[in-house]
Amino acid sequence: MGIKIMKKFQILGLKRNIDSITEEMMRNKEIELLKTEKYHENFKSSQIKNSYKSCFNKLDRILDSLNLNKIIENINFDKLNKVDLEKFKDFIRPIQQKIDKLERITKKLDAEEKRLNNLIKHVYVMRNIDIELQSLKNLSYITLIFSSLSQERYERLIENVTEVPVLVLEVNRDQDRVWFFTFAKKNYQQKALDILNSANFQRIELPERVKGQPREILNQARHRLNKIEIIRDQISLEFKKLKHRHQSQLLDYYQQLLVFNKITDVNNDFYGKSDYFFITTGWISEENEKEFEKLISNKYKKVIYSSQEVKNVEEENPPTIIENPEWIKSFSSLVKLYGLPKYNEIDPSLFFALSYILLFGIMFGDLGQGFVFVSLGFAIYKNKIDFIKNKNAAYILISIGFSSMLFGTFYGSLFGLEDLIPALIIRPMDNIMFWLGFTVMIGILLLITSMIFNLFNSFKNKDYTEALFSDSGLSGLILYLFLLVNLAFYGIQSKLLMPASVIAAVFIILLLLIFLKEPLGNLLTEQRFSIDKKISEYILESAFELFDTVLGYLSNTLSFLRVGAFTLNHVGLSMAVIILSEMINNYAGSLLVLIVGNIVIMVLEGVVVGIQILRLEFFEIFAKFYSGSGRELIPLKIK
Amino acid sequence: MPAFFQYPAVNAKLKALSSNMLKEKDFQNLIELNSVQEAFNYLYNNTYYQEHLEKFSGQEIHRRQLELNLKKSLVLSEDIIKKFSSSDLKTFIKHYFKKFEIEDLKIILRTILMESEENYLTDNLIYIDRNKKINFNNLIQASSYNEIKKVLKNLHYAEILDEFSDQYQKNKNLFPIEMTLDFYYFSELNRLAESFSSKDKKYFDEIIGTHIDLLNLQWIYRIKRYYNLSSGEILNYIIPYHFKINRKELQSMSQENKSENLVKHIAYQPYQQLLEKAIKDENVIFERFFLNYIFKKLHQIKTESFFTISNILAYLYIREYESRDIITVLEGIRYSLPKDRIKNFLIRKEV
Repeated sequence: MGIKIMKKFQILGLKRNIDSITEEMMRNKEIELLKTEKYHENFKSSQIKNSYKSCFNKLDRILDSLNLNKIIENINFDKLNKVDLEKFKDFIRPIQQKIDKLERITKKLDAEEKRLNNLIKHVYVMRNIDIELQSLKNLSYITLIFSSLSQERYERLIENVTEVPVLVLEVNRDQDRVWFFTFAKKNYQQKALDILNSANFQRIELPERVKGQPREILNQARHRLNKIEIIRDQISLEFKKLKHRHQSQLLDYYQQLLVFNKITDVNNDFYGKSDYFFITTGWISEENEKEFEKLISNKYKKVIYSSQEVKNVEEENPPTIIENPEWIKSFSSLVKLYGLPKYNEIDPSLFFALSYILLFGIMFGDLGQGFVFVSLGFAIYKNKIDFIKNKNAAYILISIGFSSMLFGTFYGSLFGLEDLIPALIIRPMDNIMFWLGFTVMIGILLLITSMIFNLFNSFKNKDYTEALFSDSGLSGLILYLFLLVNLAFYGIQSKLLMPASVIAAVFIILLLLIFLKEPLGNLLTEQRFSIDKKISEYILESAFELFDTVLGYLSNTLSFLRVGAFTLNHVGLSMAVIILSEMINNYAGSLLVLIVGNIVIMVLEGVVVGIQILRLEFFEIFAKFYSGSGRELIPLKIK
Repeated sequence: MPAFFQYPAVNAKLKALSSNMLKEKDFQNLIELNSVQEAFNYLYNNTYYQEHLEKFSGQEIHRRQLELNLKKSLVLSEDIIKKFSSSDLKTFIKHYFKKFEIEDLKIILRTILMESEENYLTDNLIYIDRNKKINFNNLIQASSYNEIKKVLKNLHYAEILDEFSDQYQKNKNLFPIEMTLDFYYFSELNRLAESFSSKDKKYFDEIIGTHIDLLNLQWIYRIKRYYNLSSGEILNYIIPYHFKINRKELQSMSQENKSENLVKHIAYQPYQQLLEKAIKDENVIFERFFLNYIFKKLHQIKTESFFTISNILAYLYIREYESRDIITVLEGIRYSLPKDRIKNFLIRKEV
């Protein structure tokens, strides 16, 4: 449980083993390599030419055009052997040629079809004109250009052709293109074409062979379109044949090339190389290492494997792998919203999970509704619900559901009905002030725990300044407890625990300690009582911080009032639903209102409570001890 | 979001960043240096570029690497500004930075399709690897027009490449594609600026509008001087937005035969003087007149208003010009130009 211990390893090996060692590392799913420049300048990062890439890309395209499913579930490393690229090329060449040919034809058909459709569209506009279009093409003094442009460019063209004697005649337009005739005198033909060219026009040629009036042209075009359809069918049949014949072998090659392509990429990205050796560095978890080391040293005698422990977390920035039992893991996913724990930090998942479950129960205590959550969770767990497959959701629902049921029995609440079962411990609505106070107490406990966590963290990292003098360190903790004790005593006995002067003195001393955090810290670590900033700046900054600290204790504590408030809120909402259902006279109607009301409460309040707890955890608790600035391990993977 | 809330935070941040920028004195000092390594040390020890050059400290540095990293530091401003912006402004800023992406794309097209010099791409691309919708590795390893197009699928660039596909296969001419990319950049920028408040729009015109005007002006001049295109073609190629030069003027300029006479067609005095000077004075690089004009304008604008986009735009331009100037100095040092000649290539040097 917690965060796995990481080690930095280094592999120095012979270049001829490079591919298979990369393969080993990919198989092991918890290894992260460091980019070359990060660790070694003396080794040149010579790039090996990746001869697999072009083959892989080719194959990839073939698979695409054959519409083959490329998703490979499990790569079977044992079945892999070196691809003979020459053989592969020989195998693929005829297929490629065939596909190329088919695609060329398809492209031609596409172009033809597009042209015909265009033609139909525009000739259709002229269908009632009784002229031979062909004759327009062969005028002796005037050239006719039929073409299309994007609207934007067309507008500009119209504005810009003021100088050349041409006539532009719009024929048709849709949302983005305009089709038009351009008439120009023969001796201006080239100029007109230049201008149209600069606007990137698309010329539409009236077909050579087509003769006759627009209506006849339309008929011919449609006839031709039908023919194209038939050819297309034949082509798709050809594709299917190809697919059927070569499917399994293509996929075999695909899997192999995929791996080797990746291996070569990894070699280029992560390895330093000299003439005969390569070197690489990466992260591996301690528990994983033993096996990996054994594997490498057994298989490759000439490989030098070494590893070292993390010395300086700040500098080396090792990745974090959290390891937890399944149900805590599901809460870890919520912790990750805040951030992954840094390598040397406590993993707060367990604490988070427990406090989350506890708070949810308190805020949303209802035997019946809790049971609904639990059942929902089980349904997800058993894959009974199609659209939620996420196991995390299942674990979370089940645990908060049970908590809700437990507190429901404490409060005596069942589907919002408060009088059906007896309250085992307390009815919050009848003891409002007590209940609010109680929840604040829970808050205080949580806050103190989180400060202790902070103490623990800082001592572990030998950050004594933070541990002793920060507002959530030892000084802060004592100050907070001191304030609480005095307040509580005054609240109960209506007199001061100690003489006012003593209280003031202790208070001020503790504040001073926090105020002087930086110089005191320097005194402790470097034996000098000084600061690195300007004194005025420091005083101003610390004064504000101090103000914020004292205010923070108050607001953080009071923030937990919301826990009690939501308990009451839950009862209140239920009461509203019950009153509504009682207003309806017939039995079925009121039952319906009760059910719908309960669903609304569960969804609406469930979400709100869930978010409020997250808020409490993130702002009030995590802020005290958790940086969440860790980074996830990025394992070497095929994809 | 009302302008009142939108700008102060980002402007305060930019003001702080601006105060770190290189001073006149820094450029003086840089020019005095004798090697690229010394220049690197100077930048590393005395300027805010330190954080961008950290990884080279204690190493020998190559000029190309240094230049690349200076340029790359430029595009990081995007993140800073976006962090402080509302969503509308963010969209605009995001698109503003696409100009670097488009430049990268042009380099890629040229390198892959025409010259294919090894390592050239990795040494020169500054922005395009930031775009998460593009698979960078596949892009720079592409080897044909269609492969590039495929990597860019789902982006507008692919549509542009598609539009020119046939034509490119026929004549292998990248020019119209590059023009269309620029065209797309400016029209999209302009479209986004349309939703600006009138004040923001004013400053947008003052800066970007001036920039476009001057680009068009230089373009027409060059065409008139070195090529022979018809009026219609010129007008089709220029960026179709104008600020102080109106359509009529552009039209009559495009019909003018002699490049020297272009000045006559411009009514706006500052441009007129600028072009006149640029044509006459052959000792200074033609383009620098225009850059310096914008540069001066930026310094005027940058302090004018705290509650508009003016600061952001001015900052971005000035920052870009700064790194261009540093690079000019570096190149001057590398090729051992006399100190006072280097000065004459700087944008900030008064013309």
